[in-house]
This record gives sequence, C-alpha cells and structure tokens, in this order.
Amino acid sequence: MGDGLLVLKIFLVVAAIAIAAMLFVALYGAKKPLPQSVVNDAGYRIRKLWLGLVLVVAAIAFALTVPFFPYPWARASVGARHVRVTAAQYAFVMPSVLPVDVPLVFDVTSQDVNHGFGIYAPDGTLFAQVQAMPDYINHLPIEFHVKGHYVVRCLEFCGIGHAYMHGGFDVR
Amino acid sequence: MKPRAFGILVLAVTLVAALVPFLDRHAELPIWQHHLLHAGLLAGGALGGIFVTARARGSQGGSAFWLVPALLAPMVAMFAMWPSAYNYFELHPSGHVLEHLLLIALAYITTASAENYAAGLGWIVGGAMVFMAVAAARGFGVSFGNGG
Amino acid sequence: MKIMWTYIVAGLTIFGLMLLVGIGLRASQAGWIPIDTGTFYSLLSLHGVGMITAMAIAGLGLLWYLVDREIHLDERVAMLAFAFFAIGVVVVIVSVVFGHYGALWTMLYPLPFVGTTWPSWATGAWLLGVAAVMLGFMLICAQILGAILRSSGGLGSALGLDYVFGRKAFEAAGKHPPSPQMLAATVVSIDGLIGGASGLLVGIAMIAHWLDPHVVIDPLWAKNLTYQFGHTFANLTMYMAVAGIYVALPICTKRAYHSSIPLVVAWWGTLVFVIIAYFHHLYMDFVQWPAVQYIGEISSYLAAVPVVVVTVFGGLMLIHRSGMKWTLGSMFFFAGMVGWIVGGSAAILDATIPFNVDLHNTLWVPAHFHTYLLEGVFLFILGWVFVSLEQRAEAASNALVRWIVGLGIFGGGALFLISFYVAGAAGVPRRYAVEPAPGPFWAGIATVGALLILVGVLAALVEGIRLARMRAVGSAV
Repeated sequence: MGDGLLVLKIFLVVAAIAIAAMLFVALYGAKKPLPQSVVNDAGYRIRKLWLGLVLVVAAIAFALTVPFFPYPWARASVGARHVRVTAAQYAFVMPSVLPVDVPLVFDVTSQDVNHGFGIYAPDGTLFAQVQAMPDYINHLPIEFHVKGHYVVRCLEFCGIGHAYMHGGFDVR
Repeated sequence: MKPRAFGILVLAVTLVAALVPFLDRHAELPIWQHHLLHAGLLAGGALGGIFVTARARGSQGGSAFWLVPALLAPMVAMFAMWPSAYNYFELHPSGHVLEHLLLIALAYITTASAENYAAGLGWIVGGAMVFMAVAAARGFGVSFGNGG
Repeated sequence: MKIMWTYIVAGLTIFGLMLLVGIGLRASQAGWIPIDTGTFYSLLSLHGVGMITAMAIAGLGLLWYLVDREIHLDERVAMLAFAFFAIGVVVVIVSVVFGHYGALWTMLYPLPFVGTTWPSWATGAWLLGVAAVMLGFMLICAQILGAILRSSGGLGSALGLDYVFGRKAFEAAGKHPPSPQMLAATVVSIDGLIGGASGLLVGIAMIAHWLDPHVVIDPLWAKNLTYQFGHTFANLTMYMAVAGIYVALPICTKRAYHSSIPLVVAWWGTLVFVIIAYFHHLYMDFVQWPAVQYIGEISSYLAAVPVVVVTVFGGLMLIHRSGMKWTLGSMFFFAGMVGWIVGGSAAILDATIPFNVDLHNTLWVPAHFHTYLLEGVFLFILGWVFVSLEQRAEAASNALVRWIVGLGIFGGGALFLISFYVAGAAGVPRRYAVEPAPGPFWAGIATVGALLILVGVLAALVEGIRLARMRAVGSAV
C-alpha cells in the first residue's frame, strides 16, 4: 500500500542483475570457445542449484506476502464502519468526510459498467484500490492514519470520460 | 463392446434424453440449470461423434478442412443455447426438442469432424465445447451478483 | 516457406503501422499533438488489438513452418486461416475508422454497450472482427495439434509422457522424444484452443446481448473469461516465438539443442500455468473466490520457472563460449531473452498481491507487457527473420548497422519502457487520454524513446531488404 516506489527499486535492481548476469554469460570468454559438452557439464550442475534457489525464493516470497493480502476475508474488520461507494459514468457517489483512525469498510459497487475505485493518499501515492462492478459489491477494509485530502481516481477503463472520472474525500 | 457400438448406444441414450420436454412440459428450470442439462446433451453428442468415427491412433486421417465444421459447430451450439429463448421453449416443447436435437447434431458434427482429421482431436475440441456449455451456466443469460 | 513469409510479413507490416499509432498516442499524452479523447480511445483500441494480432500472426507463421518441416501441414488451411485474419483485421479497422469504436479489445461487459459515443453497429463489427481473428487462430492451433496427434499417435506421446515415465524402455525402443519446437507447438495449440474457447464463449454472449439486450451477462463471469482469453492469447505469442529460439540459436552457435526430461517437464508447467495465471488480472475483484487469488499468485510465480530454469538458461548455455558471431539475428535473440526476463520480473512483481494494490491498472501494466512484447516477442520474430536472411544471403550486417539498430531498438526501447515503469510506480493510471502528473512528462520521454525505436526498426527494415535482395541477385546469376 503506497509501495510503488519500493517496487520500482526492487525491479531496477533485479533487472540490472539479470542484464549484467546474462551479458556476463554471453560475453565472458567469448574469444576462447569451449566444446558444448564442457559447457553442458558445468551448466547442468549450476542449473540444479539454480532451480532450487528459484523455488526457495518463490516460496519465501509467497509466504511473506500472504499476511498483506488486502481482502476482507484475509483481515479482521468486525465492527468496522461501512461506507457506501457507488460509481457511475463518470463520478463516484460517497461521503466527503471520513474519520481518521477508525476501521472502515468501503462497500463499492457500480450503477453501469466496471470502474476502479483507486484511493490516492495526500502525498499522491496510490494507497488502495478495488474494482467497482455492476451487480456485485466489493468490500474494501481500510483504516486511515493520516489526515488530509484523498483523491479517488477511476482505475478501470469505463468509457470516453475515464480519464476525467475522479472524486475525493477528507480524512479528519 | 466395440467403439462404434458404444457410440451408437450413447447417441441413443442422449436422443431419448432430448425428448424429456415432451414428458415434463411444465418444468420451469432456471437458466443455469438449463445450460447444464444442455451441456449434458452436448457431451452425449460429442461422445457419440468420437466413438462412431473412432479410428486407429496415429492413422493418417482425412483433410484438415474437417476442422472448419469442427470449429464452427460449437459456435453455432453456443448461439443455440440463447438464454432468452428458454421462456419460449418452456411453452413449446416441440421447439424445445428440436433445439435439443440441433445441439446433439452440432456436438456430433464437432467431434466427428475433428476425429476425421486426427484421432484424439475430438476429445480436445469436444471437451472445449462442453467446457463452454458448462461455463455458460455461470453467466450467459444470468447474473448472480453477491447481493451485498 | 511461402506460408511463413506471408504470415511474418503481414504481422510485421501491422506491427509497423501500430507502432506509428502508438507513437501518436504517447505524443498526445505528452501534450505534443492534439488528439481528442474519442479518437484517442479508438486509436488505443486499434493499437492494442492490432499489436497482439500482429505478434500472433507472425508467431503462428514461424510455428507453422517449424511444424511443417517435421510433419506435413496443408498449406490451403493456413491460407484459409489467413483469410480469417485478414477479414478480422479489415472489419476491426472499419469499426474503428468509420464507427469510432473505442472500448478497447479486452472490453469488460457491459462496457461496449453502455454510455457509448459510437453507433451500435461499430460494437457488433468489433466483436465479429475479433471473433474472425480468433477463428483463424484456433484453426491454426487445431491444424497443428491434429497433425501432431496423427504423427505422434496420441497426446501422451506428443507431450513426452512415455519418455519421462520410462525413459530407459523408451530409448531402448529407439524412440526419440518430441523436439523442443514440437513441444512448444503442442502446448501453444492446446492452450490456444482453451483460451479461444473462453474468448468465443464471452464473445458469443456479447454478440447475443448486442442482438438481444434481454440476454443478461454476469459481469464477474465475463471478466474471468475475457482475461482468461486475453491473457492466454497475449502470453502465447511469446511461446510461439520461443520455438524459434530452439531452432535458430543452435544455428547461430553451431551447437545442438535436444529435448531432455527437464525441458519436457518445463513445458508441462507452461501448459498449465499459462491458462491459470490469468487470475492475477482479477486481484482487485474482492468478490472473486478466495482460493483463486492464491492460485493466481502461485501460478504466476511458477510460470517463470520453466523460463528462467530451462528455456533462457538453456539458451544462455548455447551461447556461452560458443564463439557465436554477433549478427543482427543472434543479437535479436539474445536481447529478446533479456527483454523476456526483465519484462517477466516486472510481471512477477505486479502478480504479487500486496504490490498489485499499488500497480493494478497503472502504467506499470503496459510497462511490463511492452517489455515482454516489444523487447521479447518482437525481437524473437526479427531474430528469426534475420537468421533466415543471413543464412540465405551468406552475409551479415556491418557494425555500423548493428549499432544503429541496437541503439534504436534497445536504447530507445529502454528509454520508452523506463518512462512507463516510473510513471506506473508513481500511480499514474493506464488508459488515460489525459494523465495526471507526472504522466505527461514521462509520456514525452516515452515518445522520444519510441521515435528512436522507429529509427531502429526502419534501419532494420532497410537492412532486411538489402539482405533479401542479395539472395535474389545471387540466384539470378
């Protein structure tokens, strides 16, 4: 939540390592060719370790992320205050003021097409989001700890006015 | 039992099942159940097509142009499951039975054509068709919503 | 060869035209050229469906040729499929140019019917046009799969089951496992038929709704099917082009690439993960069945394993200390593997649910798939074209040409893509005709990058024609 820049940093590091490693493998010793069998013997040994490493990293990443799932069934929100949000081409109908440090659940739906309910924190980062769908109500549990004005933007393409569909609320 | 005999048996059972609207003319089923029953008819027709045309695995098979009916027939079958037509069919059992026969015929054409091109392909194309019919029950002509 | 070149040239031609459209879209977001909102979305619809179709047509041409080399395929069926593609492309263009359709290609029901600014026939034409493309795609998939079933004697041996579970007896009988490119063809055609079935089902439901508005559709159901189809179709363009790696890299490196048990098992993984990874498109649909959210994250992670452990790893093993010459062809294949890994890394970060909250439907999404398609699939196609041309002409390009092409397509590409990533990480939404800050600034950088890509592509085009004509002149003598 609000971790866009963190993801960008992780990505740039991973991409740089990947590019460097691939260039290294392609360029190292390129002037002195080896028979394929020699490269294969070493390569298959490395590949076993590499497979293990990839699977371990994937398992750890999965385990680390599960506690941070944003879903209502994944986090306690008993006794939370429910806030109704109705999206329609091209506006959001919702309260203009919300309380700080109170557990809330946004009950988000749409009157017409699919919309996205994206909440941007006062510092401009994307903070939370959920889809607004016709026929369905999505419950987004959230608690605001920072006061200020939060901008809401549509985050699912909804027609010609999509880019102009925004709203907001103050957290006090 | 030889494959061809088994295929004919499956087709016969499916054709009998297709006649049900004549017996139970007042059954008003929700659309999703209707789709599932029709998926069953498609499965019967598809199995019939596979077993009646059964050929040895790895045999050369016919022209690849058999794929044209094999791909078009499932599309027509999906259109034949037009959900807003069910109200009409509830009142007109003969029309309903005709629709069933059409579905069985289309399923037969699908898998028989695919098998004519390559042994085994009928299972995949027929499976995809039955998948479409079963999946249709979840949202083609109905919207479940979550009611809050 | 005729089929392959017809498909690849058609695909690359559409690519070129859509590249120009894409440059216009980014320049408009930068505020450099005026495009009104309605036209913007019409062009965005065209760009999206056009690019994915271009990559699919070119990739299918390559795959069809590789399968045809081993087991004969009927050319006339490939031409019939090509006719479906051509009809689909023309109808889609009519829908956009004359009908001003603008609800994009992965339109979510009920979008193309509600609040539209275009006539109803344009929506119908769009649906029918995309359906024609799908039909052509499925026809090729079914043709390839059927031919493989005929020659291998069944799906089990086509997928190498008997080889993996009984290797000693298998080899003692003097049998060979399916070649890597045939495994790719089997997996692409099976997943293509499954994705196609999803797409046709939701497409037919929408056409039914278009003809008879009483036919309601469940929006969550439609969304699942739309993404199952869209994700599978887009993802498969990569696996079509990957078949080219298995054949072309051994040519470039003068080494051999054989099927092995890890390779076969890796393709089984791909077979499964390609069709279920789409759940990551519905992470922000909190009403979706909880189990599939977990499956989405796990399968997105696991989808990477065959790539990083087998295909790209194997490709690098071929290149490592092989004495490979850096021609345009080999350069494209190497850079394509780099782009695939980089784009895949971005995709995996986005497929991580807590991060998806910050990235879903931001510019991060087009960032990763442009990396994957432009610096992956497209480069594999170009690599295949140039390896073929270099072999025919028995010549290669000089260093200056390689630098111009490389700086344009890779350098310009890096500039173009980084601007997508940075803006996406800052939360700028995708599909905004007019973006909030810092979107327009980065759109400007992206436009410059895209223009550099255009220069690189044009240089590659000129060089490709030069190599192709060398052969023509040579054979005339």
